[in-house]
Amino acid sequence: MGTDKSKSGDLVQGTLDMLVLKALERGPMHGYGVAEWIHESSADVLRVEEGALYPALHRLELKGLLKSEWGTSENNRRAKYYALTAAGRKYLSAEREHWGRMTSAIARVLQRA
Amino acid sequence: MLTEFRLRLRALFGRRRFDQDLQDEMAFHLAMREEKLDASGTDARAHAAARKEFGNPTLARERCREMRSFTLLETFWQDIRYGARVLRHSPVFTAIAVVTLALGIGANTAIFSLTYQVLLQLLPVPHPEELVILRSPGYKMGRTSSDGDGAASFSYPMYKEMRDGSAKVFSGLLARRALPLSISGLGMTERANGELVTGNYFETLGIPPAMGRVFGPRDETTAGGNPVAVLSYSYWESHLGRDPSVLNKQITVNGTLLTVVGVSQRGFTGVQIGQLPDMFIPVTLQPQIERNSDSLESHRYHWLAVIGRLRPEVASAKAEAALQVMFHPILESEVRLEGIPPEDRPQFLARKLILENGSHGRPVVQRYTREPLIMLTAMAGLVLIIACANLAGLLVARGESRRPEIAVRLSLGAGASRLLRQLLTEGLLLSVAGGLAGLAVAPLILRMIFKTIPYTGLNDLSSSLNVRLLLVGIGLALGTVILFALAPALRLVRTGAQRSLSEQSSRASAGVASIRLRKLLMISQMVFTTVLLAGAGLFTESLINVRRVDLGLNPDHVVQFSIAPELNGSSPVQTVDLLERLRKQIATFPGVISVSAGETAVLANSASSGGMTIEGYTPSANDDMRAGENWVGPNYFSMLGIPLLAGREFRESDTEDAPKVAIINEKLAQKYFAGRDPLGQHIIFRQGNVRPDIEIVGVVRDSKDANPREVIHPFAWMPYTQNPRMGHATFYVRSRQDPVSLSSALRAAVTALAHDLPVYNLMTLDEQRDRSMPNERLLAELCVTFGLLAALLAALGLYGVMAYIVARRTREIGIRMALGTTRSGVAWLVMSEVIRLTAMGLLAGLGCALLVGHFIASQLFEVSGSSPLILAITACLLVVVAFLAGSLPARRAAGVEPTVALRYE
Repeated sequence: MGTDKSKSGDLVQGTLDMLVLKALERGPMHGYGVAEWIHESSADVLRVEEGALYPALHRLELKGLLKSEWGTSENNRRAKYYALTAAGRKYLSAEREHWGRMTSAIARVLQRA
Repeated sequence: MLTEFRLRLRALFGRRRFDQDLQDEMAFHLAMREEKLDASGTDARAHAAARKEFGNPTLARERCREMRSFTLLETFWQDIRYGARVLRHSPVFTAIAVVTLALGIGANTAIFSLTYQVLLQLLPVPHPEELVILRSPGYKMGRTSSDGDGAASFSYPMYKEMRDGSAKVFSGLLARRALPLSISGLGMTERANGELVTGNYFETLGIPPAMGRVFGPRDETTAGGNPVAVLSYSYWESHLGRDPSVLNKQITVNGTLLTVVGVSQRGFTGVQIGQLPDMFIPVTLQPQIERNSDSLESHRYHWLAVIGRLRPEVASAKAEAALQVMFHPILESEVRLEGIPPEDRPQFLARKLILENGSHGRPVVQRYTREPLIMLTAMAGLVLIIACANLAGLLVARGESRRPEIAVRLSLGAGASRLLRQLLTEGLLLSVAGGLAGLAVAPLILRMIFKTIPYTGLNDLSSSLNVRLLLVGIGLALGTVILFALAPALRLVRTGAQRSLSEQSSRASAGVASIRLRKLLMISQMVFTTVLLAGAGLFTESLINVRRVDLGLNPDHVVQFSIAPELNGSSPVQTVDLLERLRKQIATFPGVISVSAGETAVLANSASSGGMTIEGYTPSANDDMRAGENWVGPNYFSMLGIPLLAGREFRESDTEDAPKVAIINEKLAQKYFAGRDPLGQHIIFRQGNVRPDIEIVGVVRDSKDANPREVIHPFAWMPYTQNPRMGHATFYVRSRQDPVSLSSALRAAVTALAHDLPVYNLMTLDEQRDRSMPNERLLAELCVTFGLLAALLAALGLYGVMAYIVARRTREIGIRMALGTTRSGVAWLVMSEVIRLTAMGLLAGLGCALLVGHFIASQLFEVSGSSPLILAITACLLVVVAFLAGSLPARRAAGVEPTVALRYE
């Protein structure tokens, strides 16, 4: 089950959680929707492997950052909808800030002549 | 955190639902993706690619599930179910293992419960560790009443002096004395156990009332005052059904009217094992309750047991030193008050106060039961070890036979630690089953002990188990199995994989190590069994010897019973009158051969003795001139079968007004009348300036008085008609009638003459004799039980190991037979193995038995700890057992068909 790290578009460890939370910021969505949204928003660069997505969703739910509910999808199928909790919202903004600082710091290091 | 726990719990208990949800979720995802691909018009290859891209949905599901579940708990549950299934599939193994464990653990829990209650349990009072028992060994004047330790008895005046002088050391100093009561007025008349206590008794012990009040200082004011009583909770419960209206009711106790003022706290059973009080009475009522004596003012009568509660800040060592400062002046004033002769004063003044640990209460029963109980605990331990060895053997054999299964599971990728856990879980199941069965058996064993062994001193022990014992039992079971399941399991997992799969063909050699282990276990079982059987033999011979002791009297067909008219308010004259009427009445019963009575019962471990003065005899310096004394009725000696050597028996004409007479035993005659004719000489049971005025009219053969083990000492009997303090008596009736029907006739006769007089100690004299030596019976009966149990377990074990060896060597046996070995030759092959094992176990066991015999010598009566006869019998018994256990596998070996055996496997 080991994921192939060399494959491009793979996600840095820990960033998947952030992206999932971000995807749900706009409102409740099912797992497939989350994966599609990430794929589209990244202009097809990021592809979430489903084998990692669902464990991530369940993990976040266990941590209390997400809550889930069974509902009906746009094409009338039974689907599980995930939504951000207050804790999840707080966690997301903290992570986003942290991420911003990290990437700009890394960028500065890389740009240095 | 809470959400997490809730979600996990939901996943655990709504497991099927959860699995379904997971599956639905993944299915939805795949369906959506396929729809999208369909919409974009991709072909079937793309579908396959998409599914591949999704990865393994089962794995994703598994990961989600793992995240939520209590994995450890769930696999544990799986292990348990699997283990239960495995055990169910081998019922014989399971049954033997559980029964073995149950017996071992049951015996141990029962014995430990006994030992715990007698030796280990602390008094159920707050801070029992602060309690101390006061003793003052050494010279004292006058009469001492004690239960074996005269140094622990004090006079009431001396107690009061000590109490008032020791407030700096003790937060309280109490005194008490147990005594029999006759209670009437609550709708019945019956004997009960009473306790005379000082006013600070309850306060010092820290016992509050369950109802009403307990005593305080105002209940110990003047002699004859304070006519009140406190009931014990157990008496209130068993006799009055916890009726609250008993408060302030009046009851008659030993002829005195008392008011019930309260009930003591539940669970408080007094300060001495074997003396569970029914009622507490202020000590100042002693003259009324013990009618015929007034002990409160006397400095020369030492009758109270004194217990103190040390102040928390005072260490016991410092307390003792501080007490001597207080004690010495008391002794100095006592010199005058007790009237100590000048030549004895230095001895008297040298007395010290000694403090002993009182956290277990007064150690009276403990004194004579400690050694037997420790021995019993050791015996039970041996049984457990044997049971464990047996179980270990079983587990090893089982492990061997499961080797292929384990190997398959290992090579299919099962984790070694998971397998180990699985095997241990099986052990755990066994131990829980065995432990529970053992705990079910333990109270039965304990009840059996209480029933067959009439320890008069232990009647207030409980045969129920408390939580602590439950834990001990379960702990024993767990420890046992884990220990003996782990070793084989480890070996199995370590060696299992590389061997068994490849070595199906050479199985005969596969179990060599385990066979060696089992043989070793077998030999150790033999050793311990030998020790137990030898012990059983020694204790049994000891019991037989005690029973065979020439008592000097004939207990055949004698029924005894006791009455205590003094407790119902009879004066000595009335008592004697009642005894005489009763004696004449019983003599007329059909079948009665003879009847008589005495004040002190024989063979009941009770004794009364005093210092004598003898006409024409000057005592040497170290002779205290003590002799046993008893007050008896006419024809007492002929009735009990004690031969008269000279002179005459007591007659009905020896009345109160007739000249005082006595009959002495041979010992007394030899010791004090060497070369003189004792008949016509005079003695008296007093010392000092007195003139002996009791004429010796007869000499009888020596006989045992207190118990069969005692050494006979000088003894003198006098007619009870001449006893100025006669208050109670034990009757002896020899008859051709059956003891049971005689008993009811005797009861009826007593009731007819004195309707509310309780009859007690009603039993045959044989039974009384057995009761006088509870240790011998306890040890003999239990050790025999344990020995037989051990032999049974050893037989099972030996059978198991031999059957196992034969099964393993079937092929070899077949080859041997094909090569011409006869059937008897094959049987011999097996039996020689049995003999080798037995011989080794027996030799080592006999060595150990000799050692053990040395340690138990103190409990043996006229048996040497190394009695060759006993050792020989033990050896024979063990050989027979081994032969029986070994012959079955041997026969099976001899029955092997070579053609079948060679095709075997």
